[in-house]
Amino acid sequence: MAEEQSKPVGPDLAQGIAIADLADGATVTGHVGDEAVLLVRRGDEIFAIGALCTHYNAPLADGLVVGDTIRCPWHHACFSLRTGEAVRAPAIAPYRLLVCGSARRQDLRRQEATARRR
Amino acid sequence: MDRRAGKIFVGKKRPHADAKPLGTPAREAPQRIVIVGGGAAGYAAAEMLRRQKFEGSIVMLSSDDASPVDRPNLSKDYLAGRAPEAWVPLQPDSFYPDNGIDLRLKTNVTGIDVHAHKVTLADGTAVPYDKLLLATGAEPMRLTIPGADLPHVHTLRSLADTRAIIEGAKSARSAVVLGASFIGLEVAAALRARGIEVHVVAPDKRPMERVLGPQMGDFVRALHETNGVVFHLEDLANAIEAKQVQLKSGQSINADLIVAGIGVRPRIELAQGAGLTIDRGVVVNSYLETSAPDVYAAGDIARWPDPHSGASIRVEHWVVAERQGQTAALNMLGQREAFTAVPFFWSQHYDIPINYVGHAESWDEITIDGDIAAKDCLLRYKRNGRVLAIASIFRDVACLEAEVAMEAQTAH
Repeated sequence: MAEEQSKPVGPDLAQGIAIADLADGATVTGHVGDEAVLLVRRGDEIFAIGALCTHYNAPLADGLVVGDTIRCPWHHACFSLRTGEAVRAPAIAPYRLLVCGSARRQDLRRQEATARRR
Repeated sequence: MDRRAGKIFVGKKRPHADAKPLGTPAREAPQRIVIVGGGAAGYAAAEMLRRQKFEGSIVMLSSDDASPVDRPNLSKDYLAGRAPEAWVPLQPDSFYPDNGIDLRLKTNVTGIDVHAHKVTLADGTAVPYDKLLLATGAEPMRLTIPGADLPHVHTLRSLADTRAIIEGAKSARSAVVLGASFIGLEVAAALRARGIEVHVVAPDKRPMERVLGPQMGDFVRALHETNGVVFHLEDLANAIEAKQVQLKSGQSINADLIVAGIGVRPRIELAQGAGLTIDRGVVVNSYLETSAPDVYAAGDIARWPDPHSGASIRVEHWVVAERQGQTAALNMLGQREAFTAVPFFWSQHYDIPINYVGHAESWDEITIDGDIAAKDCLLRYKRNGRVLAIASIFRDVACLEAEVAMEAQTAH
């Protein structure tokens, strides 16, 4: 488990990156503030998603984009790029656009549980 | 996120879209769903029911004394001391009342009346259901040799089991693990991380050969030996004493902690007693429906028609159980979603994860890409040229690609 988070890597996405730097089918891992964010381009569509799997915090950039989903490299969880839903276990919680990189898994889940109740 | 002048900017958090709505509402939506079991399948089902905005009652009956736990962790990082116990629960206890899930722990179900649509608890209480999910899981096989009931002899299934092993490990100097199973070897690795001398006793010629084949079996053995584990293969324990284990070969090993990882048995007694169709597990169709109306089964107990192998299979792995629980939840709400996922599991030994996709009970050929010893490989288990399963170490994208290919492949 990668429970200790390193400092955000890649470009500051709040400052923007050139679309030309993101080829079709490619991904870029950057950050917004302290939070790791993954950009995924599929054709003309660009998705900005939490960069870490909500199961064990695997880097989704090392996974595989299949259609409008992204699959986790470690334990094959699958997320919808459009809705954020964890459409396949072992991830249960949806990813969020901004995942708190220093939060423990438990805290993330608690926040999700709270969000789900609303 | 917005796009201006050829640039992409990422801004604040976007609110979550709701889960995809149900396609067609059921003609008669269930009001009362009862789940028997508090493991992967039961938990994932309850979560999915609420994710789908099911508004009826959910009663979850678990014989365990802990709310659902991240069971893979029990034999891995938590046992090794690398993960605190706070990470073990899948949700905080408040999750269940907050989401209207009536989780009843230490609750044994003694019978199902499939005609009256109710289950009976050990204390005589009847719990009625409109839809019932059986997710009773499996339980460890117990040793039957002399000394098997000594207090320093353990199996590993529940949080309480792992706590007891951790407690025993505090004063243990030498441990014997009986069985070169996934659980057995993960326990061996975890106890080595705690600095305990570890012996593995197993009847097999190679660890994990039946599942992973001889090449990967040799690798797993070498990996554990490099980390200090001593194997006693093609041997069995005859008797356990307070400070040692007697082997069939005549050898005796000093040990003050014993863990048996000799397999599990699906808990099908309840289904049997209710008269459900049984075939080395509870038989379900592709919608995970048992032979009784409104009764579903998921997880370790379920034998389902796997479209990829064309066989009816039963799998005792975490991710499969969760995904079956999710599919059963959708179907209890009136969806007709076939369970077509390709089975997946992972196993962790020290810093080496082995990922496995598919299901191969036998094969006539194993092809190897890369180098197993270099921990960079992908193995294909084939029969008649057809890939039944994949195992990989640190070839994550190739493994995912193989999974996508296997999803498209059916036996017909």
